[in-house]
Amino acid sequence: MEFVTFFLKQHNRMFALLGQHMAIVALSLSIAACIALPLGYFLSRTRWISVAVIGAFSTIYAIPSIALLVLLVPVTGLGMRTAVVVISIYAQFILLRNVVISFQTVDPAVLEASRGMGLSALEILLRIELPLTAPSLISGFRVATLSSISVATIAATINSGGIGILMLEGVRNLHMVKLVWGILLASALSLTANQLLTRAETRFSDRARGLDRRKQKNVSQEIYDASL
Amino acid sequence: MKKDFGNAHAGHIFAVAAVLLFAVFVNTAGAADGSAKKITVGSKGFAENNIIAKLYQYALEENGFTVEFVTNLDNAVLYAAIEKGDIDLYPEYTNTGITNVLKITPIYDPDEAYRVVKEQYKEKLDIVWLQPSTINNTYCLVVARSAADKLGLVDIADAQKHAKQLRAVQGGSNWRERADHLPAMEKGYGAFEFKDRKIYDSGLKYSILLAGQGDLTMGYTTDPQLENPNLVTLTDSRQIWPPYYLAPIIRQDKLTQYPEIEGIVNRITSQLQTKTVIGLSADVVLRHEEYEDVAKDFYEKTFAGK
Repeated sequence: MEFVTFFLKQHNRMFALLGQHMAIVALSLSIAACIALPLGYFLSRTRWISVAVIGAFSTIYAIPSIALLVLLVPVTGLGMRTAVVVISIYAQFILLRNVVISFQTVDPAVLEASRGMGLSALEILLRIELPLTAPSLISGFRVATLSSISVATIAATINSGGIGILMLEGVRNLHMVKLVWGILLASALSLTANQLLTRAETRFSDRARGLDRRKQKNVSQEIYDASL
Repeated sequence: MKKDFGNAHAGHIFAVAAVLLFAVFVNTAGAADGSAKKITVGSKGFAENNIIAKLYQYALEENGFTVEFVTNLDNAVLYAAIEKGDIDLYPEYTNTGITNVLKITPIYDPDEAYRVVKEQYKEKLDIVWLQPSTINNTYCLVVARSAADKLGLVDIADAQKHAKQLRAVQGGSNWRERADHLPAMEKGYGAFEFKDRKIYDSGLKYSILLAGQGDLTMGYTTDPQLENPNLVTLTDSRQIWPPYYLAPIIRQDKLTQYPEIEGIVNRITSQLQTKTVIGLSADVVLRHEEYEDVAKDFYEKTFAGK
């Protein structure tokens, strides 16, 4: 009962915090993806640099998020900016590793066949590599999203807003209803994101394997077949 | 087909350009409104500090300031934030500044403590201590009623004697390190060899005692939970804890820019009574009201328009 009255009284603030949370995660992931895709594509061609760069990011990833947030406050200030920087860095590790491995696992025979058909490097990337790697790229993006949603709750301690505020205030004042609402919102957000991205992953995976229901010609599949 | 694609492309460029133009417009509109008096008020995130910081906010707003409120910050973050200028003003406690920020030994005389902390903050950090309140939020040692009755605990000295039978609950992680925490207790009463010592979030410490999961914790004298008959505050016969009078601190540059802040803030501070503030904290901690609402009601009853 108290659970419902709390919602009725506080729903405006709760949705505002949920909105902030989604904004932080969306912004961080966009930045991380814009860096990870081109960088990962480049790194996938040069194995030894990719090992070094991914190693560097995994070292940063090992720093607990609360410590990294506090360390960055003197540099980037209080609030959303610091949260976005930290979450982008963490997501970077997950995404970058994923992008590199995805591109490295494209069968070289497929690439050779495409070149043999006279496709340019850009055409190979857009029409062959991206469709083939899409499911695995989305899968990495999904993991990064879930991790970002949870790190963003901790960012409440540096004034970045978000659902973490409800949890923090809930714990500080032993306000169980508030705490549980915080947990529920965060879980709902994670589950929804997971569901949507899993669906996208399946769809792209079907397409990559030539199971696309639309009658559009599947070039990558054709080339794959030709290469066998 | 090709032409369609070109048009769509142009459309996209227009859309992006429009968004950019709008962003520039919004930014310049904000900048043109330079007359607004802006200040950022911070808080440590626990009920008492939140409520008092909110009272400062409402008073400043009534006097034409635009206030940004920042709370839930860890102490270390708060110190960095006011030094860097991310925060302009927040309620601090005299000996917290002395031991935790200036890192010097606690000062037991209240007037001397205020004088020293004010002087050194000005000199080292260019931060001003405004008029102090009469609220002394110092530390105390709290034990569960069951343990107090069983072992006959009245004074901290008794707890020291029976430490081996007591499970200590540590709220926050720097109990052993901060000069005014465990080191102060051991200096005054001798070594505390607790049966065990576990770290929890500070908000949980009393409920852990009340749930029978621990026996002893360090509390704040203004915590409203201490009115619970199942918690016993031990007397401090050797006076190990210095006074922690609450006073707002503000960056010198902000105060120079808007000297009127001093009067606005002092008016609030001078009317804060320990009993009133414990009552307000109880509304938040025990009755689960929102601290903004509690502060707003109190402000409107006590200060608004007067």
